[in-house]
Amino acid sequence: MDVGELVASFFRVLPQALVSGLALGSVYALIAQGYYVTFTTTETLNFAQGEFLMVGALTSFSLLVLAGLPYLVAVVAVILLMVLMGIAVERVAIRPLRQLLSVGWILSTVGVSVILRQFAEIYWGREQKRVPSIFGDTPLYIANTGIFPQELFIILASLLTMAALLFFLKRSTFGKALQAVAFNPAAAGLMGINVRQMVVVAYVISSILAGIAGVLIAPVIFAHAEMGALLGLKAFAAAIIGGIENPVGILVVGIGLGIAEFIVASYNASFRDAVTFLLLILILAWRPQGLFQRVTAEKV
Amino acid sequence: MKTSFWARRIDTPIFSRVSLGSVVLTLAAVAAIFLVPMAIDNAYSMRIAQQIAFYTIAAIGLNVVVGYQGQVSLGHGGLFAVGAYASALLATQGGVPVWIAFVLAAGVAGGVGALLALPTLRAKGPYLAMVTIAFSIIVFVVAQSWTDVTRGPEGIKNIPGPEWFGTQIRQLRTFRPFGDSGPTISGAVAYFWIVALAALLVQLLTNNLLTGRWGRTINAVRQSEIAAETIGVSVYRWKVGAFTLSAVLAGLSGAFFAHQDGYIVSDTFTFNKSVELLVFVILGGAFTFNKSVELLVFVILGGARTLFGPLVGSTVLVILPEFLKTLSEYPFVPAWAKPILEHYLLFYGALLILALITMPEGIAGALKRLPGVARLLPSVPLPATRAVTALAPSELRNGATRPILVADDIKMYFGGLKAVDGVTLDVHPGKIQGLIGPNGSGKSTLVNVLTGVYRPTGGQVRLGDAILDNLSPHSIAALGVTRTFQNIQLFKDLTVLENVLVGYHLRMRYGFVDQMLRTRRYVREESAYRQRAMDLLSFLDIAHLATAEAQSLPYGLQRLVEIARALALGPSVLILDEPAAGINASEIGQVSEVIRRVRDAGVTILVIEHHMDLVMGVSDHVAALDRGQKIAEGTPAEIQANDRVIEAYLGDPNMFSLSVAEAAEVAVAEATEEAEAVTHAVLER
Amino acid sequence: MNACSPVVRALTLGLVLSLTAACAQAPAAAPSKPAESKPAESKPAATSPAAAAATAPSKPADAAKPAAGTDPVSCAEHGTTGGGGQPIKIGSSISLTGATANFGVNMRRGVEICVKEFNEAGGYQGRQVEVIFLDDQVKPEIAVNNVTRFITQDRVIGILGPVNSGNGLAFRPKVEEAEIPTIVPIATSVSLVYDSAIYQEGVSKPSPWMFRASMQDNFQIETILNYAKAKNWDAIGIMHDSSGYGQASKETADKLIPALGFNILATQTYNIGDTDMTSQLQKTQQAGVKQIINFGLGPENANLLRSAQKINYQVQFSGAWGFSDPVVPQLAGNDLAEGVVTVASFTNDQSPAAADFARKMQETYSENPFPITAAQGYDATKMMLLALKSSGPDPKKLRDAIENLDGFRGVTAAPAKPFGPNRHHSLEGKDMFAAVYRGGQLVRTE
Repeated sequence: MDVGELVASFFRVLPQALVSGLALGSVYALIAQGYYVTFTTTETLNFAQGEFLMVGALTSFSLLVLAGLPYLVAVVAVILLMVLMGIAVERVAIRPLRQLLSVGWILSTVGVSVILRQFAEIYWGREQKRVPSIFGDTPLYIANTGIFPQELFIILASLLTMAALLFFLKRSTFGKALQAVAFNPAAAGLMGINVRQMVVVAYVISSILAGIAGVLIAPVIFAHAEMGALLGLKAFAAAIIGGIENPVGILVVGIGLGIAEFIVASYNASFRDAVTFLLLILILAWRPQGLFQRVTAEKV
Repeated sequence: MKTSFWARRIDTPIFSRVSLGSVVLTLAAVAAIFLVPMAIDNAYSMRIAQQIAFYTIAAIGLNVVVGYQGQVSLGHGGLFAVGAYASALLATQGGVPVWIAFVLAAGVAGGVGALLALPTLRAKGPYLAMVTIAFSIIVFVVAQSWTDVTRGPEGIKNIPGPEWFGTQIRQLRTFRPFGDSGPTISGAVAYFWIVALAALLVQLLTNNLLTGRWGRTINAVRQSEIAAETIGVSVYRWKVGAFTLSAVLAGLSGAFFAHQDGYIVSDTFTFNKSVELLVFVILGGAFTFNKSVELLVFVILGGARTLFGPLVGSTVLVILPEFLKTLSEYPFVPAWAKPILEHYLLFYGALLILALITMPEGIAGALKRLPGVARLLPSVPLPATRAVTALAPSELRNGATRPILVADDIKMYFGGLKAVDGVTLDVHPGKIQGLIGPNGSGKSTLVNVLTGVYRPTGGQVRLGDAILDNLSPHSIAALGVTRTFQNIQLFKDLTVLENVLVGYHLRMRYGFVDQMLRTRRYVREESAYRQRAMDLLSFLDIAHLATAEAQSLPYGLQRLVEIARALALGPSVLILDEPAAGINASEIGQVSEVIRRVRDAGVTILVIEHHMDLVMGVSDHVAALDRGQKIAEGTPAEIQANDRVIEAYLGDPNMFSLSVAEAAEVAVAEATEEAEAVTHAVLER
Repeated sequence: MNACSPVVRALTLGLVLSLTAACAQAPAAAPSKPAESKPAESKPAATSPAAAAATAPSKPADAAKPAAGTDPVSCAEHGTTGGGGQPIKIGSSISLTGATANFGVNMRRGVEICVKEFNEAGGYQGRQVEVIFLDDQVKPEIAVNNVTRFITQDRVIGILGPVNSGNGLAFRPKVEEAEIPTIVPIATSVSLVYDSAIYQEGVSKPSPWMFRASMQDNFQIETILNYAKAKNWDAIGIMHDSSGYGQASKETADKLIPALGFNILATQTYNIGDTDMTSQLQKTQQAGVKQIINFGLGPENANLLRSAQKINYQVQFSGAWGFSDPVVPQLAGNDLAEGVVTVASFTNDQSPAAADFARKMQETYSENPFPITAAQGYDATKMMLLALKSSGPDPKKLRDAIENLDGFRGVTAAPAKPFGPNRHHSLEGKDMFAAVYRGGQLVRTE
């Protein structure tokens, strides 16, 4: 195949990759914002974020398909469940282990992810579940590029959620308190901010983001116990590459990864996942703190 | 102290000074490995036992990285796979004898581990965790896709078993290993012998490493990288080294796995493998932030500190799924419980979290804390102390009149912030040089530049003729400049004596093999340094604290331990960064007295301090900084009278006699402010 | 940390309890669509429009109808009464959880029905046969654990399994070392039974201990390619997953295709777990592919159908039996599955014996979501029990009896003399046929 042909085929694949990648990438970004919120606040994060997404997706299956509840009710119920799970994970897997360097919470949240996956397998079974989209499953076509209405909704809803999150963090008193804790917990504590409570709030926010991502993506990729693992890892890769304390970097890299995956898949699907992770190793070898993260020195 | 019969030590060429009890118990373990399977020759049980043995090997390796060195690797499943493939390919394609393939595979995995570690070990915590996750996923994709070599998901078949004097060992085939008149055993037993003996050997050798200098050093690196650097430990090299060792063991384990069934396939090596391996270790008790995992094992090895956590963990976790499977067949188990029992990973996860929360030292650590067990643990007798007067070996000191340490026009900018802006400072040999300055004047930044923590934006640091400003802290330490820290950086979980022993890091001459085999040379040198460490402690009047855990001491004593550790390096110049910070008034007198004593013993000292009583009391010469610039220099009396200095201290002469509490407050404020400055700065290192 | 320990313990306890409670409800909370397969009686009516829809002339292979008589097939035929004694054990290491759980779970049902019939008819001279099922979780090393246990602890006379070829390749050396006959009811890889990855009649040597009641890959591929030939497909593309199954199938197809004179316009791959194959399908679309022959498993196949819909790509999907996994119509919807062609050895409507078996499944389990796996499980068991009847419970004699079976009557299209010294697979290309989805059900094409 000559170069011209290669370029031409690239551009023929590009529009669809952009559309599909944008939807998938905004889900990565949404999950990864959860890593950002807890990491800036507590320097910890939840390695079970992908499994939280999975629980959100499967719960929406139970509520929408099995119980036949209206969409909004299901969304609210998933958010409430995520609030509880966020509190629980902070209490069980983060708070008791924060003193023990990073090893403690990384391992305990990995443990949570293992438990949730197994639990889902027992409770919902191993089969994949179809969750119908409220917008129907007939794709829309723009020229020859197709998009499921649900995918449009994903892009819209996740961008709105992220905008709301950033607005909340930067503008509201609560958000500012969260930022203060992130910046200097000791000083924030002296100023009368309840640091412990803020940590819980950060975990709740992070869980809600994962839950929303789960509800959004379930109609597109089928819900099942294993769905969260790779999504969570790729979102984490996006967070790490983008710089875990940089929400805009995370958004850019998340969406970039989503699109890149589709382009790579059109050449060789086997390398689809490998490319993301190889890129990650190279970037971290070059800049151990991520692409858009400012390097900080340790105070001694 | 009367030594019991079993604790009597034997002077062997390797495993030197091993106790009689250890020898007997090790021999008993060997005998058990040989005899028990012959009694119960059941291929199924043997298979489980083989798995315990080779997973133990991997777990011991992972223990080194996760437990001792404190880095989370979620990628050891990948290294395990590399070992498995290397050995399988060498044996099938390369025609290499299986025994040699085992060794080569471990080496290949070690090489891959080092290649992974070299560029990525600068990353930490979740970043490193992500790198290792990425690695294990890439290994999986390569195993899956590179079908010409790995045969991908089709798998490599007919991997031979090792040969036993010409007979290939196959699990379910019986043969007579000891000639025609000997007993008949199944291949499963023979393979168990091989794997179990390898596991025992690995266990003994790593025990030697982890309880000796090697373990001490990686423990130190885990607890404070910066402190380890400033006493001459190349943190990066040690991290890569620990990771490589652990990769070697993961690879060996993988090789044993490959030859067990004679078939490997890419589908086995998914990311879950890494998680499983990790759980083996955690539950077993790698996760010790205490002195590691000595356990009842002492009973087995009667004298050495050993770390059987990985063995305990692997045993529990290999048996668990089989146990659950068997359990679910009993009629009393209700139907609803069966699907739960089938999901053994659920139990792994739950055990992982429970173990982390309730017994962070793992089962092995928890056993150790049982009443009575502590009494059984051995203690190495301390050498007697001797009086010490001279310390520094420094040649520079003798008759030198020119300054020993020179900071020449140092500039250190953080973005727009000029933390240090053209400071020149000479430190004269055998003297105590004081450095004062108000909050935010750049003192700590200057110390960080002098010791290589920061690379200066401009200017030069010289020690005699050596230029220091492009060197890393450990290289600067090697040249003879070391320091203490404002916020004390001790290796908290180590004893006082061990802290000081880490300080001798650069002086110890024996090699890796000496440590692993615990040769006579190792024992000789180690006991010599224990003696020197005790001497040093008695020089600082803290010899009685030698066996105390560093973190259990009051702040003032911790400060002295930190000084002792720095002195162990034999420095020409010792930099004390706010030695009075956080200690009480009565301790300040002690610290001042110690500083003078150290100077008198021949070490040049640069002391940075807020506390005017201390700095004016001990210094021969004082320099004052303000807003990143030197504003005055002279004798303590001259400085106290200097108008600019007084002005710098907000025109408040009372600042010269800050209370301890105030000094501490100022210190905290400065720390916060500087941390802020640094956070916003881009430091390209 | 100790101060908060009681709370932590309480929470952990709560977690464990809620898990327990949740699992107690699991069957109620997650019903698996029992109404999916309709009673077998209504089938013949459903077949006619399908037959009418098929325009191409019927394949010669179709003429070889299964050797089913008018009597219903039952494993009771092989039971013999007698003095009784210790139960005779058969081991079955299959995936009951994991990606291929659907295959294992439904196969187990077929095995159970057969064993129940056999035991009710007296078993082997009054001795009951007991099948021990162990889940291999789709992990080779666990499959080996299971088989080692069967051999050394349970002392089984034979083994039924696996579902995944990889797991079988892992345990094959064990059954060969221990000399235990194994009948493979599901896994399809050639190399599981023969000494080569590519099957060549008369050249490939079977393992003495491995037999197959499943549809060997090369025959499936042959069947679907013959179907393509018969239908005059002229713009064929190949897609396959990157698993061992997908890769081996693709290699086999590459070998068979030149002889049939096909021109393959494009080949694309995807990974297990992929959810969006639009990139790959766009490539085949650009290459002008109008018919895709696909080698993949259920969930990915469903995603493939959805991805084609997403890019508005009208293409005829066909493939090996991965498409017959009931998750395909479940996940993609009956509309998208409509007209997809797959390979089968069994459909509920193919013969009276098959219809009768479908009825038994429906009666016993009130659902039959994956008929072909149940049928192959049933037949594999029936072969072993028929052999047992003549050989007695000795693994070596049992092996010889399996190899020399004659007069076998099964519910699938397996012939009366399923095996021979050089042939260890019961189903050949001529016994398989193309089946097509009509209204969410697989029906035989004519």
